Amino acid sequence: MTLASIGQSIQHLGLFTAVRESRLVYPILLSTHLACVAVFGGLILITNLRLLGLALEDIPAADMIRSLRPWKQLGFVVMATCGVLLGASKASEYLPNPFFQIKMGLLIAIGVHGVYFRRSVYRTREPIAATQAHVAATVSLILWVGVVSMGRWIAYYDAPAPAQVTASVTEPGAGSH
Amino acid sequence: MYDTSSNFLNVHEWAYGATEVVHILSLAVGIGFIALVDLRLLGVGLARVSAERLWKATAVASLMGMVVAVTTGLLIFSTDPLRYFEHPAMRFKLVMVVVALAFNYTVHSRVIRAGYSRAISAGVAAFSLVMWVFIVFSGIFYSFS
Repeated sequence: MTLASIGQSIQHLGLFTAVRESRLVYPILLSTHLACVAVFGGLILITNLRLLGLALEDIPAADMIRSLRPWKQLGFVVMATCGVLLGASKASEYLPNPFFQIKMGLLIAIGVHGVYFRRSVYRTREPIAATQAHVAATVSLILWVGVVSMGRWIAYYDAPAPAQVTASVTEPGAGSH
Repeated sequence: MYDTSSNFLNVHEWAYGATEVVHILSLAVGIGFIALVDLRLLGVGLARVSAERLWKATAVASLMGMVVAVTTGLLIFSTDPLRYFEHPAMRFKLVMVVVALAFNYTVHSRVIRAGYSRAISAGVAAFSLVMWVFIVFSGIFYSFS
Protein backbone atom coordinates (compact mmCIF):
# COMPACT_ATOMS: atom_id res chain seq x y z
CA MET A 1 0.00 0.00 0.00
CA THR A 2 1.52 3.32 -1.10
CA LEU A 3 1.03 6.78 0.37
CA ALA A 4 -0.82 7.74 -2.81
CA SER A 5 -3.28 4.85 -2.44
CA ILE A 6 -3.84 5.69 1.26
CA GLY A 7 -4.45 9.25 0.10
CA GLN A 8 -6.99 8.02 -2.46
CA SER A 9 -8.92 6.26 0.32
CA ILE A 10 -8.93 9.42 2.45
CA GLN A 11 -9.92 11.87 -0.27
CA HIS A 12 -12.83 9.70 -1.41
CA LEU A 13 -14.63 10.24 1.91
CA GLY A 14 -17.77 12.30 1.32
CA LEU A 15 -16.69 15.54 3.05
CA PHE A 16 -13.32 15.68 1.31
CA THR A 17 -14.82 14.84 -2.09
CA ALA A 18 -17.28 17.71 -1.62
CA VAL A 19 -14.44 20.13 -0.75
CA ARG A 20 -12.38 19.04 -3.75
CA GLU A 21 -15.24 19.25 -6.21
CA SER A 22 -16.60 22.60 -5.04
CA ARG A 23 -15.52 25.56 -7.15
CA LEU A 24 -15.77 27.91 -4.18
CA VAL A 25 -15.07 25.93 -1.00
CA TYR A 26 -11.49 24.91 -1.84
CA PRO A 27 -10.25 28.44 -2.68
CA ILE A 28 -12.16 29.89 0.31
CA LEU A 29 -10.47 27.38 2.64
CA LEU A 30 -7.07 28.08 1.08
CA SER A 31 -7.61 31.87 1.38
CA THR A 32 -8.67 31.51 5.02
CA HIS A 33 -5.65 29.27 5.70
CA LEU A 34 -3.33 31.93 4.26
CA ALA A 35 -5.20 34.85 5.89
CA CYS A 36 -4.62 33.13 9.26
CA VAL A 37 -0.89 33.01 8.48
CA ALA A 38 -0.96 36.74 7.75
CA VAL A 39 -3.22 37.88 10.61
CA PHE A 40 -2.09 35.57 13.40
CA GLY A 41 1.54 35.56 12.24
CA GLY A 42 1.84 38.94 13.96
CA LEU A 43 1.03 37.35 17.33
CA ILE A 44 3.80 34.76 16.89
CA LEU A 45 6.24 37.37 15.62
CA ILE A 46 5.74 39.86 18.45
CA THR A 47 6.12 37.07 21.04
CA ASN A 48 9.38 35.94 19.48
CA LEU A 49 10.69 39.49 19.15
CA ARG A 50 9.92 40.05 22.85
CA LEU A 51 11.69 36.80 23.80
CA LEU A 52 14.69 37.96 21.75
CA GLY A 53 14.64 41.30 23.59
CA LEU A 54 13.96 43.25 20.39
CA ALA A 55 10.51 44.73 21.21
CA LEU A 56 8.44 45.88 24.21
CA GLU A 57 11.22 44.98 26.64
CA ASP A 58 9.43 46.57 29.60
CA ILE A 59 6.52 44.13 29.26
CA PRO A 60 7.25 40.83 31.04
CA ALA A 61 7.50 38.10 28.40
CA ALA A 62 5.45 35.71 30.55
CA ASP A 63 2.58 38.26 30.66
CA MET A 64 2.69 38.71 26.89
CA ILE A 65 2.70 34.96 26.27
CA ARG A 66 -0.23 34.47 28.65
CA SER A 67 -2.39 37.24 27.19
CA LEU A 68 -1.79 36.25 23.56
CA ARG A 69 -2.14 32.48 24.09
CA PRO A 70 -5.94 32.13 23.58
CA TRP A 71 -5.83 34.20 20.36
CA LYS A 72 -2.88 32.22 19.01
CA GLN A 73 -4.76 29.01 19.84
CA LEU A 74 -7.89 30.30 18.08
CA GLY A 75 -5.85 31.25 14.99
CA PHE A 76 -4.12 27.88 14.99
CA VAL A 77 -7.40 25.97 15.24
CA VAL A 78 -8.89 27.86 12.26
CA MET A 79 -5.65 27.50 10.28
CA ALA A 80 -5.29 23.79 11.07
CA THR A 81 -8.98 23.04 10.34
CA CYS A 82 -8.65 24.62 6.91
CA GLY A 83 -5.32 22.84 6.39
CA VAL A 84 -6.76 19.41 7.25
CA LEU A 85 -9.73 19.91 4.91
CA LEU A 86 -7.42 21.10 2.11
CA GLY A 87 -4.86 18.32 2.63
CA ALA A 88 -7.38 15.50 3.01
CA SER A 89 -9.37 16.56 -0.05
CA LYS A 90 -6.29 16.05 -2.25
CA ALA A 91 -4.53 13.49 -0.03
CA SER A 92 -3.31 11.32 -2.91
CA GLU A 93 -1.29 14.29 -4.20
CA TYR A 94 -0.18 15.63 -0.83
CA LEU A 95 0.87 12.51 1.11
CA PRO A 96 3.63 11.46 -1.35
CA ASN A 97 4.76 15.09 -1.81
CA PRO A 98 8.15 15.53 -0.04
CA PHE A 99 7.49 19.23 0.66
CA PHE A 100 4.18 18.33 2.34
CA GLN A 101 6.00 15.66 4.37
CA ILE A 102 8.64 18.20 5.46
CA LYS A 103 5.86 20.67 6.37
CA MET A 104 4.16 18.04 8.55
CA GLY A 105 7.53 17.19 10.13
CA LEU A 106 8.11 20.87 10.94
CA LEU A 107 4.61 21.16 12.48
CA ILE A 108 5.41 18.16 14.70
CA ALA A 109 8.71 19.86 15.59
CA ILE A 110 6.75 23.00 16.59
CA GLY A 111 4.68 20.83 18.93
CA VAL A 112 7.81 19.24 20.42
CA HIS A 113 9.36 22.71 20.76
CA GLY A 114 6.31 23.91 22.70
CA VAL A 115 6.49 20.94 25.07
CA TYR A 116 10.27 21.22 25.52
CA PHE A 117 10.13 24.91 26.46
CA ARG A 118 6.81 24.63 28.32
CA ARG A 119 8.18 24.91 31.85
CA SER A 120 11.10 27.23 31.17
CA VAL A 121 9.45 29.70 28.74
CA TYR A 122 5.82 29.25 27.70
CA ARG A 123 4.04 28.37 30.96
CA THR A 124 6.28 29.86 33.61
CA ARG A 125 5.20 32.73 35.90
CA GLU A 126 8.83 33.40 36.81
CA PRO A 127 11.13 35.72 34.87
CA ILE A 128 12.37 33.80 31.81
CA ALA A 129 16.13 33.16 31.53
CA ALA A 130 17.56 35.10 28.59
CA THR A 131 19.34 32.13 27.03
CA GLN A 132 16.24 29.94 27.15
CA ALA A 133 14.13 32.78 25.72
CA HIS A 134 16.55 33.42 22.86
CA VAL A 135 16.84 29.73 21.92
CA ALA A 136 13.06 29.18 22.09
CA ALA A 137 12.33 32.26 19.93
CA THR A 138 15.02 31.49 17.35
CA VAL A 139 13.89 27.88 16.97
CA SER A 140 10.23 29.00 16.76
CA LEU A 141 11.01 31.54 14.01
CA ILE A 142 13.05 29.02 11.99
CA LEU A 143 10.31 26.38 12.26
CA TRP A 144 7.47 28.76 11.29
CA VAL A 145 9.42 30.18 8.33
CA GLY A 146 10.04 26.57 7.28
CA VAL A 147 6.34 25.67 7.56
CA VAL A 148 5.23 28.65 5.44
CA SER A 149 7.99 28.07 2.87
CA MET A 150 7.29 24.35 2.49
CA GLY A 151 3.57 25.12 2.23
CA ARG A 152 4.17 27.23 -0.86
CA TRP A 153 6.71 24.78 -2.26
CA ILE A 154 4.16 21.93 -2.22
CA ALA A 155 2.77 23.31 -5.48
CA TYR A 156 6.14 22.93 -7.22
CA TYR A 157 6.55 19.18 -6.80
CA ASP A 158 6.21 17.22 -10.03
CA ALA A 159 5.06 13.79 -8.90
CA PRO A 160 6.06 10.76 -10.98
CA ALA A 161 2.89 9.22 -12.44
CA PRO A 162 2.68 5.51 -11.61
CA ALA A 163 0.33 3.51 -13.81
CA GLN A 164 -2.17 2.55 -11.09
CA VAL A 165 -2.43 5.93 -9.44
CA THR A 166 -4.48 8.68 -10.99
CA ALA A 167 -2.93 11.48 -8.95
CA SER A 168 -2.59 14.63 -10.99
CA VAL A 169 0.32 17.02 -10.72
CA THR A 170 -0.49 20.22 -8.87
CA GLU A 171 -0.19 23.29 -11.05
CA PRO A 172 2.22 25.96 -9.79
CA GLY A 173 0.19 28.95 -8.69
CA ALA A 174 -2.90 26.92 -7.89
CA GLY A 175 -1.54 24.79 -5.09
CA SER A 176 -1.83 24.71 -1.35
CA HIS A 177 0.03 26.60 1.35
CA MET B 1 7.89 45.10 -26.82
CA TYR B 2 8.52 43.42 -23.48
CA ASP B 3 9.37 39.74 -23.94
CA THR B 4 8.24 37.78 -20.85
CA SER B 5 10.14 34.63 -21.95
CA SER B 6 13.43 36.27 -20.97
CA ASN B 7 12.16 37.24 -17.50
CA PHE B 8 14.45 35.65 -14.90
CA LEU B 9 11.49 34.22 -12.96
CA ASN B 10 10.12 32.60 -16.12
CA VAL B 11 13.50 31.11 -17.02
CA HIS B 12 14.13 29.65 -13.55
CA GLU B 13 11.16 27.97 -11.87
CA TRP B 14 13.02 27.86 -8.52
CA ALA B 15 13.35 31.66 -8.65
CA TYR B 16 9.59 32.05 -9.21
CA GLY B 17 8.88 29.74 -6.25
CA ALA B 18 11.43 31.48 -4.04
CA THR B 19 9.92 34.88 -4.89
CA GLU B 20 6.45 33.58 -3.95
CA VAL B 21 7.79 32.26 -0.63
CA VAL B 22 9.39 35.63 0.18
CA HIS B 23 6.14 37.37 -0.90
CA ILE B 24 4.09 35.29 1.55
CA LEU B 25 6.60 35.60 4.42
CA SER B 26 6.88 39.37 3.99
CA LEU B 27 3.06 39.65 3.82
CA ALA B 28 2.91 37.76 7.11
CA VAL B 29 5.27 40.34 8.66
CA GLY B 30 3.63 43.40 7.07
CA ILE B 31 -0.01 42.42 7.55
CA GLY B 32 0.72 40.50 10.76
CA PHE B 33 1.96 43.58 12.60
CA ILE B 34 -0.87 45.77 11.27
CA ALA B 35 -3.33 43.08 12.38
CA LEU B 36 -1.68 42.96 15.80
CA VAL B 37 -2.46 46.67 16.27
CA ASP B 38 -5.96 46.22 14.79
CA LEU B 39 -6.72 43.35 17.18
CA ARG B 40 -5.55 45.54 20.07
CA LEU B 41 -7.91 48.33 18.93
CA LEU B 42 -10.67 45.71 18.94
CA GLY B 43 -9.77 44.79 22.52
CA VAL B 44 -7.99 41.55 21.64
CA GLY B 45 -4.55 40.53 22.85
CA LEU B 46 -2.11 42.72 24.74
CA ALA B 47 -4.45 44.65 27.04
CA ARG B 48 -1.64 46.29 29.04
CA VAL B 49 0.08 47.75 25.97
CA SER B 50 -1.61 50.67 24.21
CA ALA B 51 -2.31 50.45 20.48
CA GLU B 52 -0.06 53.46 19.94
CA ARG B 53 2.80 51.72 21.77
CA LEU B 54 2.31 48.56 19.71
CA TRP B 55 2.19 50.62 16.51
CA LYS B 56 5.48 52.35 17.38
CA ALA B 57 7.14 49.04 18.31
CA THR B 58 6.16 47.34 15.04
CA ALA B 59 5.88 50.16 12.47
CA VAL B 60 9.40 49.81 11.02
CA ALA B 61 9.21 46.01 10.72
CA SER B 62 5.72 46.27 9.23
CA LEU B 63 6.90 48.84 6.67
CA MET B 64 9.88 46.65 5.75
CA GLY B 65 7.54 43.69 5.30
CA MET B 66 5.27 45.75 3.06
CA VAL B 67 8.18 47.05 0.95
CA VAL B 68 9.44 43.49 0.37
CA ALA B 69 5.89 42.20 -0.29
CA VAL B 70 5.18 44.93 -2.87
CA THR B 71 8.60 44.45 -4.51
CA THR B 72 8.21 40.66 -4.80
CA GLY B 73 4.60 41.15 -5.91
CA LEU B 74 5.78 43.40 -8.74
CA LEU B 75 8.45 40.84 -9.71
CA ILE B 76 5.76 38.14 -9.94
CA PHE B 77 3.51 40.56 -11.87
CA SER B 78 6.35 41.18 -14.36
CA THR B 79 6.33 37.50 -15.41
CA ASP B 80 3.08 38.03 -17.32
CA PRO B 81 1.80 41.59 -16.84
CA LEU B 82 -0.97 41.46 -19.43
CA ARG B 83 -2.52 38.27 -18.04
CA TYR B 84 -2.35 39.62 -14.49
CA PHE B 85 -3.72 43.04 -15.39
CA GLU B 86 -6.64 41.68 -17.40
CA HIS B 87 -7.84 39.42 -14.59
CA PRO B 88 -10.65 40.95 -12.45
CA ALA B 89 -9.44 39.33 -9.19
CA MET B 90 -5.92 40.69 -9.72
CA ARG B 91 -7.22 44.16 -10.64
CA PHE B 92 -9.28 44.12 -7.46
CA LYS B 93 -6.20 43.07 -5.48
CA LEU B 94 -4.05 45.83 -6.98
CA VAL B 95 -6.65 48.51 -6.22
CA MET B 96 -7.16 47.14 -2.70
CA VAL B 97 -3.41 47.14 -1.98
CA VAL B 98 -3.15 50.82 -2.94
CA VAL B 99 -6.26 51.72 -0.91
CA ALA B 100 -5.19 49.63 2.12
CA LEU B 101 -1.66 51.07 2.16
CA ALA B 102 -2.98 54.64 1.83
CA PHE B 103 -5.54 53.97 4.57
CA ASN B 104 -2.89 52.40 6.80
CA TYR B 105 -0.51 55.34 6.66
CA THR B 106 -3.17 58.07 6.90
CA VAL B 107 -6.49 57.35 8.67
CA HIS B 108 -5.29 54.23 10.49
CA SER B 109 -2.12 55.72 11.97
CA ARG B 110 -3.91 58.99 12.83
CA VAL B 111 -6.65 57.18 14.75
CA ILE B 112 -4.05 55.12 16.64
CA ARG B 113 -2.01 58.18 17.64
CA ALA B 114 -4.85 60.60 18.33
CA GLY B 115 -6.79 58.22 20.57
CA TYR B 116 -10.31 58.46 19.13
CA SER B 117 -13.36 56.94 20.83
CA ARG B 118 -13.47 53.18 21.23
CA ALA B 119 -16.21 52.83 18.61
CA ILE B 120 -14.29 54.79 15.96
CA SER B 121 -11.05 52.94 16.75
CA ALA B 122 -12.80 49.57 16.54
CA GLY B 123 -14.49 50.54 13.25
CA VAL B 124 -11.19 51.63 11.69
CA ALA B 125 -9.47 48.44 12.92
CA ALA B 126 -12.24 46.21 11.55
CA PHE B 127 -12.17 48.02 8.19
CA SER B 128 -8.38 47.64 8.03
CA LEU B 129 -8.52 43.92 8.85
CA VAL B 130 -11.27 43.27 6.29
CA MET B 131 -9.26 45.02 3.56
CA TRP B 132 -6.11 42.96 4.22
CA VAL B 133 -8.10 39.72 4.35
CA PHE B 134 -9.76 40.63 1.02
CA ILE B 135 -6.30 41.20 -0.47
CA VAL B 136 -5.22 37.69 0.57
CA PHE B 137 -8.48 36.22 -0.80
CA SER B 138 -8.20 38.02 -4.14
CA GLY B 139 -4.63 36.72 -4.60
CA ILE B 140 -5.79 33.13 -4.08
CA PHE B 141 -8.96 33.52 -6.18
CA TYR B 142 -6.81 34.78 -9.04
CA SER B 143 -5.07 31.37 -9.08
CA PHE B 144 -8.35 29.49 -9.21
CA SER B 145 -10.17 31.30 -12.00
